[in-house]
Order: sequence, then structure tokens, then C-alpha cells
Amino acid sequence: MSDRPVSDLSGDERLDALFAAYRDACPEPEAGRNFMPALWRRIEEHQQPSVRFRRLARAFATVGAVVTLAMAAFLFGPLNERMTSPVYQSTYVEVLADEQATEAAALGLLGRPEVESDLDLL
Amino acid sequence: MLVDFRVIQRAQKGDDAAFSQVVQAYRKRILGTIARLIAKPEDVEDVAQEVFLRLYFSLDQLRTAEVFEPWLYRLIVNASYDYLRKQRRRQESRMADLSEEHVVMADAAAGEKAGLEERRRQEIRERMEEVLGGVSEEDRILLILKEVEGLSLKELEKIYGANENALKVRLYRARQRVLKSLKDPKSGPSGGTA
Repeated sequence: MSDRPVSDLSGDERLDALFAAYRDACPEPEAGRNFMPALWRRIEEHQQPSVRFRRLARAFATVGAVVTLAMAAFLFGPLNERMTSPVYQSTYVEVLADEQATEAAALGLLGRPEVESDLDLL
Repeated sequence: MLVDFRVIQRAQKGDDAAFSQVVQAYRKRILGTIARLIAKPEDVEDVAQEVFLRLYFSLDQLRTAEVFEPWLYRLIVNASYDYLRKQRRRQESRMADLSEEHVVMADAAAGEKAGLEERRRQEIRERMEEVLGGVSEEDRILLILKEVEGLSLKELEKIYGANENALKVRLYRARQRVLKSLKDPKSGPSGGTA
């Protein structure tokens, strides 16, 4: 701080002097004995809602996973069944030939050489 | 840094003993800074606990050792700002409730209780309070960090995440407002932060 009387100081100097005096006027506080216990108490109080929220979120995630698996099983079961049917096991031409043969047998055309040669072409 | 980064990393993983170690290391410095920022000795511990509480719940976001202290200062700035805003609102309503006579009586009683030296310090704090009443809470905090705490512009840059020139302008304007209220103590808060 300057030794000049306060009235001689410029505004900036007065302000700097006030800041310096303020620095000395503020006590260096020491934490009380309860500082740490009170801090941990506050942490625990704040933790409770967040822990509850985290548990709830985890429960939702579990339920979501179970529902997803159930839906997957529900959808893939019939699909799998369909995939093993003869329609999906043979080619389009084979299926067509089978159908032609069935229809020809039903109409009593089997045994006639011109029809059988047509079927052989397939 | 007042504490090894490995201790902070342990605290990040949920080691409460390591977190206590961090608190012990920084407690004194934080209490001192908050005392100068808020100028209310009776509330310093409460604000410091708020800072450590915020630190506890945001520690997992910290990635490198270099940013720990600026980040801790940012928590101090935010907690002090919240406190000062609440305090201003509370003070306004309290002063509206008390008659002038009551305020004078309360001041006299406080003066008798305190020692002479403490009374002088109290007067300086009150004078500073009066002068800083002319600026917003943000500017008050910025000015105290620079002029009283003695932080450099580089340090302030890291705390505020603003560039040096912008901070210089803010500091200059805040200083001008404080100078104005130093000359004219009756001028109210002008609020601006730009």
C-alpha cells in the first residue's frame, strides 16, 4: 500500500489499496471438526436418489432385454419352421415339376408318351 | 498440484478414502478463496461443502491432471455465484422487512461484540461489499479472483474457458463499474457481465 494519504490517491490506486486491505481483512478460515462428517452426510443424502434412479434404470434395461429375447423367439420360431418346409428346401423348377406330375396323375395323363416326354423336359 | 493424480484416479473409481485425501489437501485453500469471494465467514464451510459435493459427483468426468485445479476453481466460482445470488435475493427481502431503526440497532450490537481489530476488518469487508454491490455477481467473482486471489490471466482463461482478450475487456469494464461505485457509493448494481 502507498504511504500517501488516501485523499491523494487516484481512483485506481484507491481501489488497489482496498483490494489489498480486503485480502488482509478476510480471515483464513479453518474447517470445523464437523466438516468431513457433514460433507459425507451431504454426499449420502445426494447419493440416495441417484442410487434409486440407477436401480430403476437397471431394472428397465433388464425387462427390455427379456422382452427383446421373447419377441425374437416368438418371431424366429415360425420362420424357422417355414424354412424347413419342402418348398424352401428345393428349387423352383423342382417344385414346378412335382406339381406338374401331381396334376398329370390326377388328370390320368401319366402313361401317355407325349405328356411324359414333356414332363421329362422339365 | 496439492495431491498426486493417482489419488484422484482412485477417488474416481469410488475410493472414498482417496476422495477424503483430496478434500484434506484442498480444504484450506478452498475455504480461503470462498471466504474472500463471499465475505461471509459464517457461510464459508457450507459453500465449501457444496464445492466438494459437486466435485464428488462430477469427478468421473475428469480426464487429465492438468485440468483438475482450473476445474476445481470453476466449481468454486459456480457455488459462490449461486450463494451470492441467493444471498442478494434474501437480503433484499430481509431489508424490506426490517425498519431502519432495527438495522442500526443490529449494527451497534455487532460492533460491541467484536474486538477493535475485528471491527476494523469488518469495516473493510463491509466497504468492499458496498463497492462490489455496484457490479454483478459474475464480475465480483472475476475481480476478486484476479485482484485479491492474484490469479493470472492464463489461469483465469482455463477456469472460464474464455480467451485472454475477452477476459481483459470484462475485467476492465468490471473495474470501471467498481471505480464508479467507489466514487459514488449510492449507485446500485449495474449488473452487466460483458
